[in-house]
Amino acid sequence: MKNIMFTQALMITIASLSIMTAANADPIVVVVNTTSPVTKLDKEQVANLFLGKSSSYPDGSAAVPIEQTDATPAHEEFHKSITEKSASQLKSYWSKMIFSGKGTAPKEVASNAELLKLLASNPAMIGYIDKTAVDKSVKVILAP
Amino acid sequence: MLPNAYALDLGHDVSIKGFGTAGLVYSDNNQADFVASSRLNPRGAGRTENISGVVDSKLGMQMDWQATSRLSFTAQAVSKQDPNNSWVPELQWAFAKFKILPNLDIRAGRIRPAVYMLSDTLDVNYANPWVRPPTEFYNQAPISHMEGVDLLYRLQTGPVNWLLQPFYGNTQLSMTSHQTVTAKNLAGVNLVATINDFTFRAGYTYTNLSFNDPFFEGVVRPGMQSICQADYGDPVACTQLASLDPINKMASFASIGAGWDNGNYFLTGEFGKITTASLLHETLSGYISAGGRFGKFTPYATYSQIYNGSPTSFSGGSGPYGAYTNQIVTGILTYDSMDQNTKTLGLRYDLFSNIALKAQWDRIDTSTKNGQENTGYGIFHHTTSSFNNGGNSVNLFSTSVDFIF
Repeated sequence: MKNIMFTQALMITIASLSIMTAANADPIVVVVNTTSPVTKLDKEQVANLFLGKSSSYPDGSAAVPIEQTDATPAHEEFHKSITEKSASQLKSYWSKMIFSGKGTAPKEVASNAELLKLLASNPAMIGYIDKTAVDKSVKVILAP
Repeated sequence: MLPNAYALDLGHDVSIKGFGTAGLVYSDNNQADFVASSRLNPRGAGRTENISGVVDSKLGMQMDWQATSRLSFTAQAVSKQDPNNSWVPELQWAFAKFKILPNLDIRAGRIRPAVYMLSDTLDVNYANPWVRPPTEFYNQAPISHMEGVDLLYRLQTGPVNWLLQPFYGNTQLSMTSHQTVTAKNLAGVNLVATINDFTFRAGYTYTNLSFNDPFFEGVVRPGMQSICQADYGDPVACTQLASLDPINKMASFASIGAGWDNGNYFLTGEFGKITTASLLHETLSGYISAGGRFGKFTPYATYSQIYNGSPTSFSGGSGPYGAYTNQIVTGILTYDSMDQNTKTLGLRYDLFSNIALKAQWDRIDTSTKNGQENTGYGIFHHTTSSFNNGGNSVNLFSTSVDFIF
């Protein structure tokens, strides 16, 4: 009995911890250049691209993921919903990949505007922005 | 080219980055040195000094050059306590990587054979939850690098992400006690399957191993040869020398590992078996570790163990010199890696997104083989005979600052 109460208390603590960490950020969307042949990706495919586990779209063409810096709200929202990694988990993950020469972290931009500008120049690129920042130069391929 | 968060961009697609650990270890036993690897680290905490900064401290620098979209070059030098007690940086990785297909890379040059689940991050403590990877397991196959090639083949089948990594190479490395180990035709494979929060891993490495050991060459081998060749000599000494001489002997390491990590909690473990025909003993080793992430805090607990499965005494000598045969063969059999286990409790605190502070308590127990002398030292180094002759309990307190930049 005592054990059950302890378990319940623990579950409540854990639940409140996870609520505390879930900040109410604006939703993000995953976008590519309008001229890209890619129309839709699922969460797993996007996560694989941004974690360097795959480097091409389903049709075999090369994909170039672009990150936002971890100071942006979009960064936190994207990794919470897509890769499901915290900032320090992400650093641990990339330090494993980088210092064994297995992979290179995606290039970074500091804002939605920079991302849109960059995506307009290269149809192979894929990025994420706040849903409210979407304009005509990009198409949404995943809205988590 | 845009920068990324993990490197200092020097232009021309060249970047530089680094990692390091500043660690202090206190041991409550002054009869033996605790070391991270008994084959690579000559000194540690305990007998040499109560509090040691040399066990975990290290600094690594890496330079990458992305020459073309498919060809890159990587060099990584690490400064840490080496077998000769020097801190001269050594090249751990220096290779060219070529992307043959979008999901197939080949690397050639100096690489680390993927012997363990955590082979990639053995020096990068920031990437692991603990102060150091469990020593009982990670002490087993200390081939830190080789000259060779490997392939990285990634495949996705349904929900499973596969990594198939065959490797081949040759190496010669300095070890403690003035030993040199030569691994010829080291070949192996690393297979990793990731399914959502689960990772499964299997690995097998096979090589032709030679230990050049001054004590063996100067004392043991001539001694055995004279017993073997003397009038009324012991023929058993001839056969034992042939099988125990650590030159050109096959050795293999088979291991499996699994992990579960849902972001909030993790549970991971590995199990491995060394099989050899020589001085390196047949050992079974493994660990299991669990932890939880609560904001910036990551408490964890680990149990790890090594078991020496080969005989530790010999009584098959014959004739008037048989007793000498028995003594020397027994000496060889008790030369390396005895039974030991460690219980670990620790806490990681992520100070910034690139700096982690860690504190860890280890309770290490060694035991003798049926009370036999010289079998109680576990995997400690620089031990006294009283430490060797009995079981020991050692408390270890470690703190470290791990960083990447």
